[in-house]
Amino acid sequence: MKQLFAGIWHSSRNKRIILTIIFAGFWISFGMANASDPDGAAVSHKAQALKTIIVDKYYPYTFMNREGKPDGFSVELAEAVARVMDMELAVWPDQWQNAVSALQAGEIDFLPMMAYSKERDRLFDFSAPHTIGFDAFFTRKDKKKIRSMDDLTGLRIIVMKNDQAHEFLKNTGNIKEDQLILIQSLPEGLRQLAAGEGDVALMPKLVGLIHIRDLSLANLAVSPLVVDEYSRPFSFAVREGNQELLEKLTQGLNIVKATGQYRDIYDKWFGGLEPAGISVRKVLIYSGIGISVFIVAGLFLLTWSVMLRRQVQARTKELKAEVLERRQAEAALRESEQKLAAVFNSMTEALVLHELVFDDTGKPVNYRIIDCNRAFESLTGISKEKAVGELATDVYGTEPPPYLEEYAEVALSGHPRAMEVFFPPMDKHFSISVASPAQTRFVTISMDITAIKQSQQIIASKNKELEQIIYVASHDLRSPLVNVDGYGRELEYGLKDLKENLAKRGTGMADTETLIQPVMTDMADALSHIRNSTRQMDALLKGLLKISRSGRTSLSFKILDMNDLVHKVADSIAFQIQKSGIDLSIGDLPACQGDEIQVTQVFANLLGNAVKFLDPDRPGVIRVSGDLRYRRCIYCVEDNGIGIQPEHREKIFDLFHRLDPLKTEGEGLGLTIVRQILSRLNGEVRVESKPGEGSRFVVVLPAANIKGKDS
Amino acid sequence: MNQEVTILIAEDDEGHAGLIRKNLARAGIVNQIRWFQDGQEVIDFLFQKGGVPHREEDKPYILLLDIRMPKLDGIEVLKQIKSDGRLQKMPVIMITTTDDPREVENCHAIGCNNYITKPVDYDSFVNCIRQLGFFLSIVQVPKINGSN
Repeated sequence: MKQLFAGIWHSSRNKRIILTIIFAGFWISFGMANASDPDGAAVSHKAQALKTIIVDKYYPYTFMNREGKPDGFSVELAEAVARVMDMELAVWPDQWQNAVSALQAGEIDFLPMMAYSKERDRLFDFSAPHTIGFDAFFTRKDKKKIRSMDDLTGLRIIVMKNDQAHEFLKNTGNIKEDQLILIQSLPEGLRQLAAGEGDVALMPKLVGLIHIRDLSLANLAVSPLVVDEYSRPFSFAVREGNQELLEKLTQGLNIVKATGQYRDIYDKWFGGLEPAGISVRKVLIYSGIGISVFIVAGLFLLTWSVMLRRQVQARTKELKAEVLERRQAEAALRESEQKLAAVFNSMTEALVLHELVFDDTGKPVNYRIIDCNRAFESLTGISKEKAVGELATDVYGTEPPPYLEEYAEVALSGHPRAMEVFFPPMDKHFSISVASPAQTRFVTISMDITAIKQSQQIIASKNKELEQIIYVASHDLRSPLVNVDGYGRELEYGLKDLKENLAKRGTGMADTETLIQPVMTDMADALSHIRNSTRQMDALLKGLLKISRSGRTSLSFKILDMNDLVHKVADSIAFQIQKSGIDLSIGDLPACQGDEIQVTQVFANLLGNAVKFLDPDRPGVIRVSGDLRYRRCIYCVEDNGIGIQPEHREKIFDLFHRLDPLKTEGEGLGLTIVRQILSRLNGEVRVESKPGEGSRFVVVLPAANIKGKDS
Repeated sequence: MNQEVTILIAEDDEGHAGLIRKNLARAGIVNQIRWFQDGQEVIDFLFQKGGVPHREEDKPYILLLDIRMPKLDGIEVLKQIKSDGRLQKMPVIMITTTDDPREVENCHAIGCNNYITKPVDYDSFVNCIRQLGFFLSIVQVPKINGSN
């Protein structure tokens, strides 16, 4: 409440209003003050106690102080006036109504504070007003404030009985009798209002505010409407016709004013907030000022209206320019938005805006798609309508959502990153740029690089092939050449020996056969090495050609019924399987995409190897099985054969690599061709094996794209 | 060369092995020669494994080793020998057809004592073997158990 009060006083606007109220009060009461100004005739009197009643709790005008004595502005003023007029004063408190009755009945001599009104003027005589008060409405803060008299319609109004406010309300004509709640003291009225009684209270603004502060009625507020219809020019009042006392009081008041006591008392109680006292001179000055102000204001208004018109014209022009500018800006913005939207929807990269989703502990666990462009649909096969607003786990069908860790790191740190990933559910490689436009949000720009990746893989496998061919040329092809040249030279040596030996025959030292025989044996040996080596070279060159041709045959991709295909392969080696008593079983194999001849070659080679490398010490078991993982078919060819030593696992796919050339047949090309074919068919092959237990070749091929499965 | 030293030849190509033998003989090397057809055979001999003849303790050996062989290649054989405490002092001479610098470097890194490329040109080959014969005639070959 203290704050509210301080606020009212400190707010310059409120201060101005209060000063205006008081100032206007002087203006209005000017005529009256003049009229009741005494003519100065001093009547002698003898000292006697003047009896008067004050109303308690009408702070700061009249109230009983802590010592139980009458106090306040009006009390001190009455005492000062009595003192200068050499009179005693007897003061006691009572209710206002009783005080009025007492004065009317002549039980007391005067009242120190009564506001002038016409009704009262019939019963009492008034001195010049010593202070002016204005009334205001008070409401509870939760209710509408009173801004005009019309706001009072239907409201219950608390007002002090027979107070000027009461009379005013009765006389407005708009307020019905039953709307009024009549009280005996202002604090009581405010308490009732604060407690929810009635809707509004009307009383002197200053008195009301002070009580609200002192009683800490924090739920009350003063309304802006100040009642202009009446003011409270507080005067000393005597009984009608008590001219003598009125003269004394008026004279005393003038003396008190002239000696400065009035100012002191006023300042003490009202804190020097407004011009104190009322003097004709001051009133004239104020009226002069008022009139001047009025004239100046009139002139000002005239000038102002002209200026205003000009200003309006200028401002209209400005506004027109502003509107034009804004329209242009809006058009530019629209154009820029359209451009962005066009880029957004025409770019070939999928652009998606996401927001992270956190669990209770604040850990990112998922993300939601906020927006995406059209390329997202063509790239993923997921429609925009099914993606926007949905959780990544639902949209992509993976748990956890794709690349959550990487995305969360970007969204939380703000550091962008780029990555290349293979996303198995779509069987595609993506290049993804991730950036964060705002904390917890991130944008991904994804490009399908599957074709590029496949090309890279093909290039890598071609490079590997080439490397192998170089190795073969530098090692395997040289090997027989060493023999051809070496044994050719040995033949030369042989011939030379033969010649020498034959020359020796001429001397007749030995018979021809013993001379020739050992040399001929050597020469036959050399020739056999030469023949073997040339055959070897021929085989190697044929192998190279085979590999080279296999890598260049044209492929015809189609959906392959793998059950059919593998059974056909099995049939072609049925005789061998039966003869060796092999237990061959073929499971249900999913359909894949590939070239029929090439895929047949792959399984023929793998099954052939499985049969070839069975352990002769135990019955052979070969199993072919298949599975579908995302968009890849995974086939296994398993045997319980001799197995492969770890150091050979990768070499078995090398060109011309043979485990044991003496024990097994073949040219060392089978698995090289398998790997080469699968590389061309966008598949792969790998081996798992335990030596002595068996081997397991895993072939991966693209699954047949069944329509409707993606969506 | 110490007449006691046995020359081990690990060479899958019988023809190459024959040429090496012939030319070592021409160079005057008359030591005992043992021929192994693949890496596994020579490892079994040296590490005294399996039902094949084993090396004798306290006897010096020298190994002429080809790289490209079935079952166990020359690089693997070299690794096993050089990481064995008893065998690591045995001289190992790589004799192979490839002159791929990476392969040569790799063999030296593992610890081969010499590296000879088999030239296709027979005269050079003969020359190499003769040099090898000369090398073998002067080299001190430690016995397997470490004493000379």
